Amino acid sequence: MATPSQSKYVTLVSNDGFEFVVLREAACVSGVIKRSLDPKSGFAESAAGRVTFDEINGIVLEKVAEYFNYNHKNRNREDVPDMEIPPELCLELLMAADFLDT
Amino acid sequence: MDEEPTLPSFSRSNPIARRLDELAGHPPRKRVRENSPPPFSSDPPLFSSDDDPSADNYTSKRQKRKYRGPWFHQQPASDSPSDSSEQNQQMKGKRTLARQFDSGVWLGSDGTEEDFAEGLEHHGVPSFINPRAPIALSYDHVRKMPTLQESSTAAEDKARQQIGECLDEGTEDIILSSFNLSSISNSTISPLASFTCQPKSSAGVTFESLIPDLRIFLHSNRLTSLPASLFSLERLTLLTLRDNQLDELPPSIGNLPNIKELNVSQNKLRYLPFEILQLVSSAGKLKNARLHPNPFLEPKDLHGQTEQDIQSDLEPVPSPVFGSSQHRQDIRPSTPIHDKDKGHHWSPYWHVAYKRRTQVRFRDITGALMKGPIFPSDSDQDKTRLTPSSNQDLGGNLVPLADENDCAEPPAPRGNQISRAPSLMEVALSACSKTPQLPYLAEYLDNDSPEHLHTLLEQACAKKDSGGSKCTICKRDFIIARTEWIEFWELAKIENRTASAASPLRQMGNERDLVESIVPLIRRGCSWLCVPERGRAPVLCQDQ
Repeated sequence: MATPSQSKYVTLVSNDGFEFVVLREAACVSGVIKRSLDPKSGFAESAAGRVTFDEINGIVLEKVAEYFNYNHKNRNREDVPDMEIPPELCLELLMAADFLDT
Repeated sequence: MDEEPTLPSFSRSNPIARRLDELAGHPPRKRVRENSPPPFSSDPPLFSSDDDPSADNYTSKRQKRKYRGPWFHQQPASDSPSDSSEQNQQMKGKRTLARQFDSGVWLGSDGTEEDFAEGLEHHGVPSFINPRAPIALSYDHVRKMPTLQESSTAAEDKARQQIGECLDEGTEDIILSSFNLSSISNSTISPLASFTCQPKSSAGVTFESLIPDLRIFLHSNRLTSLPASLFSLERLTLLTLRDNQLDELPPSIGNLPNIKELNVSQNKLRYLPFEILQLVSSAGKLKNARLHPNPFLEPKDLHGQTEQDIQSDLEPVPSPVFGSSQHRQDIRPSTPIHDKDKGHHWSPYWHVAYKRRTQVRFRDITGALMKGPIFPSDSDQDKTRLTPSSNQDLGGNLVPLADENDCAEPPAPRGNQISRAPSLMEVALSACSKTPQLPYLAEYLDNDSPEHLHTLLEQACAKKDSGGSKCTICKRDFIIARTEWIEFWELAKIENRTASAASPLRQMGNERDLVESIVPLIRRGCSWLCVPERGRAPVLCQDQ
């Protein structure tokens, strides 16, 4: 296995076991993920390149991962398209956003 | 096997049969919900030849059926009474899924769905919820929901009644002054959108316009916010909000294309929305505006200049005769800042010019102030967040101005760089804002969820009621402002008066007029990149 701290990708794991592999650069828009993956912090997450969220379920984490990609893709654009969120997820996503500081 | 699909009974509940019964002298039967099998999705067969629309019918040998009596009393032989009662028994039992042969869709049948709703009623579902509505929320929470009707007060009922009378009688003056209104909802104002004048037939008048010129008088109330529907009244020509408790006007005020007179005096306004400039653009029709008295923010330069000094800085002519358009024309070329907005056409009634702005304030994803000057209007929370060293409280309504070459520097971003993409918080909050359940969403939050989430949902709710807001730089809808700054604009009415014996031309401008012609307009941006351009006067972009 390649050294995880150098890997371009990180794995986000939901509380029900779903795993999402996203670009490290994209995921680091979240303050919490950035801090936990910082090699200087010495957290176990930074060594493994794998962050487990006990508070977020798979459905919400999927949207979060989708947001990371959306944010990463549109980082240099002037006119950013809107991202669609199904209404039943909006409140959970709001809480996830607060938790992730995104 | 000679198997025939059963057909719905051609019973007396059939409207044709009932009508025929009535004609024959039988008393009409009450329409009752019969326990018939679920209807097939094809048209009910009316003639013996179309008893089964599917082609399968032709694969087996067809038998000719024999009928006795008139055609409307006929039932196909297979649909005997014993047969159907047996089916009813089966249906009452459990929710079953039956495949309709020619629909290709699996659906619960009609009868079973009702049973489902009945079952819910046993669990204490309040009666105002339509049991057939799609069930998206859990019922524990639904029970807690306050109904919208509860929130309307007696004063608002009175206002609603008044509006109803105006609508009925075609009175263009809607006088809701001194109604003791503390809030006014969208549903109260929205009927006015369908206002039509009543034609007054008078001799000698051939044509008269039925397009109304609505005038709404809301003065001397206790309003703290205004509904969005007030600003979607296209035919509103006069709006008086004098003597209320408003601390901010919603940006949607720029959407009133026909407003001629606006009075917002004697409120708690610290600043006006930037969108108000649309009313004095060449498309706007505003002729009279009463903005003072209000506790508006006043500019104070960092070097301790007072407003008058700045004014004289910008305009070298020491004491301009205020209100004379001729004079304005003269001084314009000598002041460079005036040239910058030459490209934009303003209303002929108004002299509009950008003066200066404050430094940009940056807010984080939850709307907390991160960087920038403190305004006297800020909450204590914002005031304590920033270190007082860089932001001394100037006292009164004074706010420091930025350098002319000030370049807005955002604080360090969360990620690797700053982008225009909205935060996940903003994305989720705008999704919340789009659901009709927005006012009740806060109740779903856990008790231990952070306080600011409640605040944000409240904010989203208030913003939705007042018509939303658009970034003044990139025009994107937003809920949490990420940047904001105040621009001081000169907004003065151009009066073309001619001297006469009755009203001699006023020669000297009142000093207070001069001060009051500078109004603070708040501009808000949706991302940290939505900041004013360096050293350039802003240009008002119009939506259309």
